[in-house]
Amino acid sequence: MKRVLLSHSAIVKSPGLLPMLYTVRELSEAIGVADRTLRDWLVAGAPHFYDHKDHIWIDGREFAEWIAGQRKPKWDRRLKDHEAYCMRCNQVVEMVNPTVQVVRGSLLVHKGKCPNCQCTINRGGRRPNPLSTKVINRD
Amino acid sequence: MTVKKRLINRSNFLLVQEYLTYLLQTKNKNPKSVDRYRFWLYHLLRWAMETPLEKAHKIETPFLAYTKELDLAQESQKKIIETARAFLRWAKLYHEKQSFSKLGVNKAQEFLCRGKIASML
Repeated sequence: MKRVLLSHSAIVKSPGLLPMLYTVRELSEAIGVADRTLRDWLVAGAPHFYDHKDHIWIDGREFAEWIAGQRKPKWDRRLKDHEAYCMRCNQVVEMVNPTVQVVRGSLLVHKGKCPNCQCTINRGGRRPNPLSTKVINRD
Repeated sequence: MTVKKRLINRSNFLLVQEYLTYLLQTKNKNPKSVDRYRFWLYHLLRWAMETPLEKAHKIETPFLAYTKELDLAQESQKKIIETARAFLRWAKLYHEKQSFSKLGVNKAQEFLCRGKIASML
């Protein structure tokens, strides 16, 4: 399923939609997106139906569920030591030639190259505290 | 067997929208305040669901009981009821031709909370 690009206001305001039938205009005002954008989302698969006069009606609850389904799943995995997020590729990559620099105190910077686009990527980190007894599972 | 989904009455929604426009344009209320009123009035819509507001006195659960179920702060409950009351007063004044005229303000307030509002406001 291809995801549509959602605006922040649509994500934030859609859970507050009422369980009722909205027209396109009412819904676009309620979630703060342009009329045209909403019509594009309907073409992309947002739930709606036509009545006998060919008017478009959208159920607020169903639409909110659709928006929730379109959101990117939350990233909950911690990055490994040699991994970093490439802003250009928009994904986690394994750094090529990673180097570690100490900034100040326990603050570190991991620097390396992206294997896909060859751009420099930086990632902040902390030196593990030897006094800390807390074990962090990084897998 | 399919379960029929309960939907909010559209005429109630349109009436609330009209009231909010009135607050914004005629009463010159701050748009942020109007957003807050919208949030509070949506509780009234959720309470009434498919029942038209003119026949709200036929709803089994009193509005006060509904607001108590929401688990909101006492102050928020008070605001929700106050806003609903102001909205019904406006509906009575500006929609004389509708059956709101048959429903006096006193009766509207009565169905809103069935006599228990006095202690809250």
